[in-house]
Amino acid sequence: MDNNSQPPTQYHLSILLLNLVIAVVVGVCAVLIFLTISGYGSLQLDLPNNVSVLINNHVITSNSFKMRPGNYQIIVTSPLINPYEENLNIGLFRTTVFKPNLQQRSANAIASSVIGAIGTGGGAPQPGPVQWFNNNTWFVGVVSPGPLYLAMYYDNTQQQWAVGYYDVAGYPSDLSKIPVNVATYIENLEAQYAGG
Amino acid sequence: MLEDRRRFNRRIVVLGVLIVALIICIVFYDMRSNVFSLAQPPASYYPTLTNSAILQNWLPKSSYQYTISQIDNYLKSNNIHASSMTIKGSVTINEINGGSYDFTLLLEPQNQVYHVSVKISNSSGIISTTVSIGS
Repeated sequence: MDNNSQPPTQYHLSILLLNLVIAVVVGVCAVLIFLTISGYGSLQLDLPNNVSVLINNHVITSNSFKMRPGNYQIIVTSPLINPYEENLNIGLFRTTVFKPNLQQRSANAIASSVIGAIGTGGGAPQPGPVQWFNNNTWFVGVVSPGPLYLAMYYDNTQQQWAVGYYDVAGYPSDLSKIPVNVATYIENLEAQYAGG
Repeated sequence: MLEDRRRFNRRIVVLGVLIVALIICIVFYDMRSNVFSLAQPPASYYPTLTNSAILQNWLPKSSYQYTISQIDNYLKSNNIHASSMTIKGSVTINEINGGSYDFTLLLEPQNQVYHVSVKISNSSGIISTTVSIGS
């Protein structure tokens, strides 16, 4: 049977079916165009200053922006806090406020990241008991074997931690060059340990 | 009959155009969706550490760089390709191993797990690093 001899009902059925397919494709196109233009959620970062934010390994500099719905890995870092990592879900047309419970970076991590080890066989430095000073920009701890008195401070210019006092070759060990309250605390500690 | 055939042909043409438009819409949507997408680099002996901050929080800069280079060397010498690697959990101080920095490394996409131990010594401010890797 050639096409010309097809009964009209078969053409009508095909046209009806094509109309249906066309309508579906038009609908899908419309939804895709709408989602391309408006299919976002938004994320607001409620974070302290001087932290670095990575979302899926992309560096973020803005505090508020639109994002496609989905799951994202977010990492917040700073020399002053423990690194914070979370998987964040962004919903379509929803605003997500990201306000993590950031914790002050531990003295153990700070000391480890700067001096690495106590001597050649002492392993990781674990200062304790730790006393913080001057809005948590200085701390003093005792490390073993020794005991050795370690004072570290946050260098705001370099934005990194540094050794202020550590009576070991290669490190500053002049109490007169550190804040008086920190030096006094170390002197008291030394007297306390010397006295047994 | 002829009119029916014309109407049929017109719809076929319209459908063809719409399918092309649909493909363009999908491509555009996909392009606009990838703004923050996670990069999937090809597998190599030098995979990216996705959460390097966890390790940098503990190791001095020189020790961190040496550790990464040793991991890359280990992958190369054992002919292991990976797209990325991730520290699972946290870095711990292993007193039994003389105060080394230990962590677990997950290689993807193979999901292979390796245990890494970093031993540091400090001689008058000069830092030396030894890295042990085991599966």
